[in-house]
Amino acid sequence: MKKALILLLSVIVLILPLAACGGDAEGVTTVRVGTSNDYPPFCYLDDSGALTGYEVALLKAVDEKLPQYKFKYEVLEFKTILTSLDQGRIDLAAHQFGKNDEREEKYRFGTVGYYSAADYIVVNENTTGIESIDDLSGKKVSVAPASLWALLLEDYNKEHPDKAPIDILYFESTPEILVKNLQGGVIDATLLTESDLNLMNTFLGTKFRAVGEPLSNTETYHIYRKDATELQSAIDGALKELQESGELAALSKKAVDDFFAAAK
Amino acid sequence: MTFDLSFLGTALWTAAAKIPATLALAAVPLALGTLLGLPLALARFFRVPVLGKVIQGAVTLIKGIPVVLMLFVFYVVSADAFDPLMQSLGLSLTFRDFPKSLIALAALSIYAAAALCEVFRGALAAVPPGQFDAAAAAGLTRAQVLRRIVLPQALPVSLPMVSNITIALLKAAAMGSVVAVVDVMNAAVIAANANYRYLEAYVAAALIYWGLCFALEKAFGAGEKVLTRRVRRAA
Amino acid sequence: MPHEPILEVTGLRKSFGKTPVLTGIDLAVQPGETVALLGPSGSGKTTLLRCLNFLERADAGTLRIEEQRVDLRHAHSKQILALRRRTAMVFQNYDLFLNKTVLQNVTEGLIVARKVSKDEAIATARDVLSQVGLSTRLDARPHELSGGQQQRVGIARALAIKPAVLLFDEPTSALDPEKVQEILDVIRAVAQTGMTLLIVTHKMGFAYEVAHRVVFMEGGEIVEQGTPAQVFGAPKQERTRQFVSRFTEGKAPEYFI
Repeated sequence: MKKALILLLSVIVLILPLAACGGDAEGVTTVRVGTSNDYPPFCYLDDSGALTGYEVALLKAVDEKLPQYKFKYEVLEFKTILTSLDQGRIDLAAHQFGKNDEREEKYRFGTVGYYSAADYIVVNENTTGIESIDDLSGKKVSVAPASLWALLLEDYNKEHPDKAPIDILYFESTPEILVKNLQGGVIDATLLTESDLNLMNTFLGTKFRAVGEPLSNTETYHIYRKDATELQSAIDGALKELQESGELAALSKKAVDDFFAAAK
Repeated sequence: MTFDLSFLGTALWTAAAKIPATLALAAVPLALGTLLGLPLALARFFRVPVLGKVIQGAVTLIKGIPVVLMLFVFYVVSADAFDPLMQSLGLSLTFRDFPKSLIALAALSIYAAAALCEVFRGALAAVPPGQFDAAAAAGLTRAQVLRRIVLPQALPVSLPMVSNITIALLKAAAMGSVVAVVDVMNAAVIAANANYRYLEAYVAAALIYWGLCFALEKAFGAGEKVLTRRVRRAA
Repeated sequence: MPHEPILEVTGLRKSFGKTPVLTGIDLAVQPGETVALLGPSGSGKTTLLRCLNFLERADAGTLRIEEQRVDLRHAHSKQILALRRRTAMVFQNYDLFLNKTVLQNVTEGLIVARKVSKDEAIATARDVLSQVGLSTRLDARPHELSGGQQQRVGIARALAIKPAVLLFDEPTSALDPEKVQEILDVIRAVAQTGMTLLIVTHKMGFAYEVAHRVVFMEGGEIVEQGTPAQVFGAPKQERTRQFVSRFTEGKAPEYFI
């Protein structure tokens, strides 16, 4: 779903001129940050065409705490961000990356999660009787074929052989079809991140709602090359300070609110 | 991550269970597409007034649309129109319970009909005009000319292209995932959700597709040999 | 000849687009008569032949074969079918059914179009095939035969249905020169059986020798007709004289095969 939204909202990728590598004159090191401009509210272009969003706002706050670094943004296509990190074209990947084994084997993750992407069961506005995963028993629920959510539902069915199984529909589809399915009652529920749900309600005029507790919480992290210990510990230190002062939470709320306020 | 051979086996097994689904998604559109495409090709070949032009336009239009887009359009249109239609027909069938694979079959059949229409038209054009004249002069009706003389010559000519279209349909079946149809490809991918071993899953799907395509090409090749042996053109 | 004509065409006109090809043809053929249609390329003689069995649809005119009379422009498909079953055609390029054997080529029109029983059709086919000197290769496919053999089958296919009128469209012009004579011999033998033949040909000598009547066409109309002796020996029209002179003057031995 997330991938499909990115596709839907994607705009032409601007490739900024590559910055010169390495240290600057006054002992200030330039850190090249790889992100995209098509994943609101985390990174997108504002009305004046400037890169903005939570990723940028957060790193700006980090930058203020770290005089030895200055951040320079490379706008990339999502799929090429980690490859660019491999190739040394960027030093830091900031694009709501979650952890998985494959990534952890290849890259260094920051230790401070800076956003919590909550996944919810999502239903149409008037749907009642679905408050938790247990209520999905015997219902039609759509998920993308290749997704952790599909696995989550499959596992639930396996662990509850006594209950009517959740009828899993594997839809590799666009938001348009998801909207039709939910509004038309073709499916009873789907699983979405909170952010994707907000995007859909804002831009597609739907009145879907998240029900119950989050099914899972995916923390997102900055990603570095394996050898970038110094950069990682510096940024993590700053993030920790921001977290403790409550600024981090405020920044994420403001970034999300700003985006949706502007959208309306 | 190393390549996990044992999971490749698992994925092969899971995906192979969906071979019937993939074959059905190719065979049904092939059959319906032939039933529809052949009359359309005849209408075009004989330049039936108005209809011939309409078909030409429609074929161009359909061939210009990616199959996946056609699936989307079919799905969205049927999602809106299905329930009111059923209600007006007094039927209690709802879109919710309607098998979505039929939408994939319909979209793929239309695609097949357009492609086959072009193929059959080309094959008809490959029959020497004298064959039509000689059959007509012998007193055969238009239908007899087609059934007994022209089509037995045209169809073998079309077989290699029909084979190509069948293979294209086989692969297009994977796009059924946009309307929740689980075929070989999607079964393989779903199997990989548990352990992220998508590479093994893709390899498993590829192996199955290669096997199917190889078998199909052999079958069509054999059919072509049998049919053309009798109809070779005079030197 | 004392009989009522077996084929009679009047006022036949035909254009391809804006180009007139036939500009008003009146022609009658008597039963048992062999008529040769001569004329330069583009004179419309092949088109005339093809209009007679509706391989081309004429723009105007009427056609009667035996007792069936039709309007050439407005005939509907049933009439066309019935009329076609009174004629048979031998084609320049043989046009044997490529998906059928020699025997099936001959029986096809009998079994399918004329509802003759299979046994009867096969007996007839064997009969006409031996008549054209091809009784051995009944199961051969067209591509296995020489041009001469294919045209023998083409003639047998036409003979089998015992048409009121047998139409020949330049039956020897696609043949190797050494095969021409054998096909002309077959046609001559057919003419001698008393069948009615209408032959478009370039073979002046053959027309002179076999035809009862020669029809000379040019520019989409019949310029002159008469016995071979009249048309070749004493043409009345200047155009006819010019045309036949190319074959009669000096070159006679070559063309009068």
